[in-house]
Amino acid sequence: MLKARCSCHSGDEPAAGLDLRNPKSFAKVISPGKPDESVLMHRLMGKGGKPQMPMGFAPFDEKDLAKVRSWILAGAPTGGGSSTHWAYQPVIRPPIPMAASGKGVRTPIDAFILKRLEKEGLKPSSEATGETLIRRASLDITGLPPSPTEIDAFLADKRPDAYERLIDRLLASPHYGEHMAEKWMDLARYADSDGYEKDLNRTAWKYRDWVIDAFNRNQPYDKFVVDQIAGDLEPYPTIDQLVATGFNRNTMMNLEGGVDQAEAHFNVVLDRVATTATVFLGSTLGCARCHDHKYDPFSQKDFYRMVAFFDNAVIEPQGRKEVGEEKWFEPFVEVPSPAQSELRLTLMKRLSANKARLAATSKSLASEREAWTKEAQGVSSTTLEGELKVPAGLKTGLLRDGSFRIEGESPATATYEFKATLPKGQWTGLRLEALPDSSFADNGPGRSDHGNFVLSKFEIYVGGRPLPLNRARADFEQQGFPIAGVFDSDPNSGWAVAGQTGKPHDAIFAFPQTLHEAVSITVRLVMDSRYPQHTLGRFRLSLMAQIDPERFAIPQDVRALLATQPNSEAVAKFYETISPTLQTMRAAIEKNEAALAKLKSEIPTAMVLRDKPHTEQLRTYVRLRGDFLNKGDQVVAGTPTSLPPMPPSEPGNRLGLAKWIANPRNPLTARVEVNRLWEDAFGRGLVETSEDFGTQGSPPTHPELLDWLASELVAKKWDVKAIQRLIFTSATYRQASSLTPERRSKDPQNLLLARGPRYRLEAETIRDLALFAGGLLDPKIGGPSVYPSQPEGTWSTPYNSQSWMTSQGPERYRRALYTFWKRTSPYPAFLAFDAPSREQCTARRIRTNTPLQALAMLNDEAILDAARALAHRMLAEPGSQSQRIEFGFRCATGRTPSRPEAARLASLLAKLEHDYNVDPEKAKKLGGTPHQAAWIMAASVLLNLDETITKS
Amino acid sequence: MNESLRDMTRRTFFKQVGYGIGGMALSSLLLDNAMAQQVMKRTDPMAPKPPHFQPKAKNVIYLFMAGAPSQIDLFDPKPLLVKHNGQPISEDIVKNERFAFITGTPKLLGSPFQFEQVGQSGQWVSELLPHFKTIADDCAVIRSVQTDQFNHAPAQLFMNTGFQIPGRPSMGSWMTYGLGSENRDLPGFVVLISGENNPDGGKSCWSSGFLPTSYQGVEFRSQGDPVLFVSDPDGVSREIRRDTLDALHDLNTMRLKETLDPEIETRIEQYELAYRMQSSVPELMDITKESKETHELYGTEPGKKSFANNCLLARRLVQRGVRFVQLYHRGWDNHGTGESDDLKHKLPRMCREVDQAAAALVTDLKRLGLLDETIVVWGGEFGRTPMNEGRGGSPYLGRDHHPHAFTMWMAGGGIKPGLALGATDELGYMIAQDPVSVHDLHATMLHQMGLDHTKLTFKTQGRDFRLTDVYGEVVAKLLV
Repeated sequence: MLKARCSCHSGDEPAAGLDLRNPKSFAKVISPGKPDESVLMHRLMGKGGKPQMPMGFAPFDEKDLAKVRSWILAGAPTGGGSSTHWAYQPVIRPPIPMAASGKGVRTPIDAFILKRLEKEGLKPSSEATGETLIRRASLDITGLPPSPTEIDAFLADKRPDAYERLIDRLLASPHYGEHMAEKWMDLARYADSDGYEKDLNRTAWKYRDWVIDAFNRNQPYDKFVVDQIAGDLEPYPTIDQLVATGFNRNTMMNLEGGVDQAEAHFNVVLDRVATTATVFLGSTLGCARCHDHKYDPFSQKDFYRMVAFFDNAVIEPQGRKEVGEEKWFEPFVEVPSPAQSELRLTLMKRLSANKARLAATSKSLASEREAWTKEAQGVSSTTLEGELKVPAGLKTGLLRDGSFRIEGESPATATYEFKATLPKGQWTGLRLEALPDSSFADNGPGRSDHGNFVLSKFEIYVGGRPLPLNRARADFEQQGFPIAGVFDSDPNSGWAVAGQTGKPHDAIFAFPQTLHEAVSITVRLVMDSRYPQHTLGRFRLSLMAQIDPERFAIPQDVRALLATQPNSEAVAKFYETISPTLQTMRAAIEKNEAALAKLKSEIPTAMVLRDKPHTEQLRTYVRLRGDFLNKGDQVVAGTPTSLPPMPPSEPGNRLGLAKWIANPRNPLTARVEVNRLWEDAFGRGLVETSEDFGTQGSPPTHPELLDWLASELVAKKWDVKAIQRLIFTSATYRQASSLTPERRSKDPQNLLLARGPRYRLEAETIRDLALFAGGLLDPKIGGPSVYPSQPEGTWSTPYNSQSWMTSQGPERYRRALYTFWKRTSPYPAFLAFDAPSREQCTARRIRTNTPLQALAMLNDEAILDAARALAHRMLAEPGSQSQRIEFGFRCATGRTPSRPEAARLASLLAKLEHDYNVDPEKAKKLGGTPHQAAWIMAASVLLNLDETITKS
Repeated sequence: MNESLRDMTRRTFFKQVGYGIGGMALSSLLLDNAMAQQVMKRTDPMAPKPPHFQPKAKNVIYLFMAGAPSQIDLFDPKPLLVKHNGQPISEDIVKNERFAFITGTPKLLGSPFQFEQVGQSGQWVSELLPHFKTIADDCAVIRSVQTDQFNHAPAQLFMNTGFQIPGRPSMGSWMTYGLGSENRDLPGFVVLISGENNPDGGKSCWSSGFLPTSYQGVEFRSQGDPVLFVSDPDGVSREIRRDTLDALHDLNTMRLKETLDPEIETRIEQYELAYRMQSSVPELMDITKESKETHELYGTEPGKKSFANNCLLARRLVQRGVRFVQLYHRGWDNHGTGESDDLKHKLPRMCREVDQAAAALVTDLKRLGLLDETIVVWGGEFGRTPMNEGRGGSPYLGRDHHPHAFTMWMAGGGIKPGLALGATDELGYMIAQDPVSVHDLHATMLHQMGLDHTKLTFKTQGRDFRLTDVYGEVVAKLLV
């Protein structure tokens, strides 16, 4: 009690130097045998003018005080025996007990259970009916109910091992892996979006499919653990092993603007440590983030030693840090299908052949290029003189080279108007030179703080009428800001030159027709993008004769070479980009590249962990009070000191950690896993707190059984299905679940298992079951997540235009496992049935029973669709009305209805049909004739039955 | 998460009552008769539960200004800032600061808006909030709130759940977990959203975290079904719904007799509750029958998605005994990167959207005698910097995120009216007097509801968790 409630007085630095876990230390505040003289009693009671303890928490009540008092009276004994909590002690295989009645023992499990029941004076229940057994096992193993045909076949199978055959069939079903994955997704906090404010979509489903597959091929649990924690560090990892590391990439990512990315990543790493400990070790190591664990033997240093394993991840910063837009990304890999790999190979071969041909042809371009060079050397431009008008507050300076420099405070946006009369000549185009100038940031040519500009629009008016411009070419374009952007009406698209500021740049605009002397023109340069101050600082306009902008917009460096070294490599390289002869070859290459790009966009990716290479031991810093900004001592990567040490032969990295977890000598790993398998079958683990095997968790109801199963898992080489087969074939599992008043009062929570499990199904299973009953469920396994219908307006995230694109066709009826999982907006029907948001690891869902669940079952479109389909199936069933009712009832509950149940449904049908006959319009709205509508509503009742959504 | 969970949702609640709510006694003398009767009758998770001590308030309406309004332009006038407007701030102050967007040495930004002292209390109020001036005497303005977080999502989560990472229960969940709710036909914790979008923290802001999901905030929507799945499908009349529920009731009862599983009993009750919700929710949402005077007071227009409509709905909800109502109105994130998020255009627009209805809510509650038992809270997730942000050289005025000091106001439910609590330094940068942390705020709200924040605990991951983590003190100065 003192340990649990006076947690300040424990750990490495107990408050006031008093450690209530240490008898030597607490001797200072206790006078054995004399509670009234003990400081401890005074402080707990708040006597003596000092604050009452525990400070900041609820005081001890009378009952608790009396306990402390009598303990001190008894001399404050500290007990003997092992001081190590059971879960940290090695697993020692206990002998299988001899139950008094050998009857009822089908597997060793039953011996343990019966022994305990005998002790408590309880008798096990009889075996459940065949109908119950096949439904229970089907739901537990595949997450799907049995069809009436499957039920009949099972009931008709009179072989002595019919049930065992059923279990084997179910364990071999590919839907087994799906159902196992469903539960694993909560542990792995799998989601299809990043979480937090932006909550952008991510491509993560390859990891989900890997989990399904791992369960289906019954990957040994130790391998399953190692692949997920450190598959990337295995020698020569397969793509599958890389994909498996997605386990720890499923962490949330905070991409909100202005977030300190180092701190965000720190939180990611901490989540990886806490989740790894919860999932594989059943330990609340995350509690030691801020201080030594108050109850379990984990110090804060232990926690950060674990952090060091994960704190060496490869990170790629992207985006501009100076405006708070830098984001850190971790790696991903492409996971092509075999067909995609093959196609890619073909395309790449073709591409390199095309490129080789192009290269060969390029060499023979000399004569064509020489002609062009001559022409280009002859191209000249005539500086256009005229009058420039700029917004108020700005000044223009005409420089000696005929360019204008804009002076005055840099405005957010600006439009320049230039009026001129054309000199004598045949003018075919206008050249705009953006020129550098030392009076601007980064030497211009723009006036933003990085010397950039965005030319939103470029217009020429002749005699007040706009000249239709649509051809232009620039010597350089910033990514995403092509010169063509000046022709559309969007102010944010336009020509910009970031990446090559501080240099002169050229844009050449072709006139639609030749213009002649004495024509008056007005040139408008509009710069009104959303990027403030991105206006042109210095520029020159000149006229061009006999030009073709496609061929004579030449970068400044090439232009300079044209005069001095026309045969240089650089000129030749540039010419290749514009040569008409190469045009067709280039088109072929472009097509080829486009096909590759398209393929690339179709190849799924997976998020993976990757470590930076290192030769030194991995280290990180303790963060005092868990505060990222508060660095403490440096620690070296290592496992918690209270658990068996990592063998020195293991690498001191994540792989070493993974192998240490998967080591048969680790006291927690096997216990935690068999407990989870037990929980899947009985609704509660032998340790109820499956996420916490520490001193604050629940003690095991059957400690020997837990250890026996754990040792069996290891003995069977971590064969998960073997353990499940033991559980599912046990007499314990096969019991009927009905209560008697005696069982209800003696063991209301069924801790002792004198009866079979009975509890509501998970959110996913409820949906799948309804769709299956209606015959709608699409059995396809794996693939990208899908968007079944959900009420409109459910998604609404700031700064995120991604939307719920409701799937069409059979995709709407895929298993729940494949529903797109958006963290800030989980699928409403799942949320109603206690599914978590998957923002963090959830080891156990709490089952609730709420009106919102009733509303979802009654009115959710998916369940309604299932009811329509089930009604259709019932009506298509040959035979009498009562046979049809029976068929529907069996589809929903797996059981033949009793006579009163069938009669009640028949009277409902009669009443509904009468109602709908009065108002056939209503029936039409629901989807049919009055007769059909009545059956649809009856089917809805069947899907809503407590029994339908309950495993019993 | 322990054994108590199952019981919490069942009729066995009272046998196990010691678990969840810090060992409180059911036979508490503080219970009035009517409530005791209700407590005895109801068995659902939202059944009213006795508080730890005599409460001052029964309900909370929390007006969450998502995006974080500028305290310096609304409630906390700083003449010195105006005087030194445009001058760079002292390097000493900002040298080790982390800002979301400010880089380099920012310049001080005096508020371009006028302030005056109003009412008996002499509260300082900006010209942007003319309606608030009429209720200033009913409110306690806290100018010294501080938080730990300077990004929206973490700060909104911190303000709602006491922790910056998603996964903890929100205050509405804690309160309904601790107290239940008096109206059995409506959820006990209702969320209403207006403004540009959902809040940055997403639905985690009203999550039940590790508490049972029955304590999760239920979003009442202004478009489509007000509560998800509450409307019957086309072609299902009330009579037909009743017929099907009667059959469902009978069939479930047959099964109950067979299995004796009390969970079936609970399920039967939940279907009946669902049926009642199907009428009580539309009745609640229908504001057309409110008087013209009321509509004028709030500025409401039936059928429109607006903060005003939500304020009126909030009043209707607490009138019906709903425990915790939370409104979100997003759009206060005025960085000044353009006209759409600057001080001169956007901030006044946000004030126009919110000011009248928020003031009307307090006035209306007072007029109806509900203000004494309802705490109204107004505020964002953090404050705004006393400096101009000037991101990328933006010429528009705007302020960056500021966790160190900001203003919230509270009214009703035993909160001292007309109080101005706390003060910031001359620049409005740090708190100079009476700091109030987010945990303090939570402790105080729970206290007014009759809950001791140190006793309202839930065990999960091996330890007892509280809304206030291991911090928080009741702010005695705030209370009557």
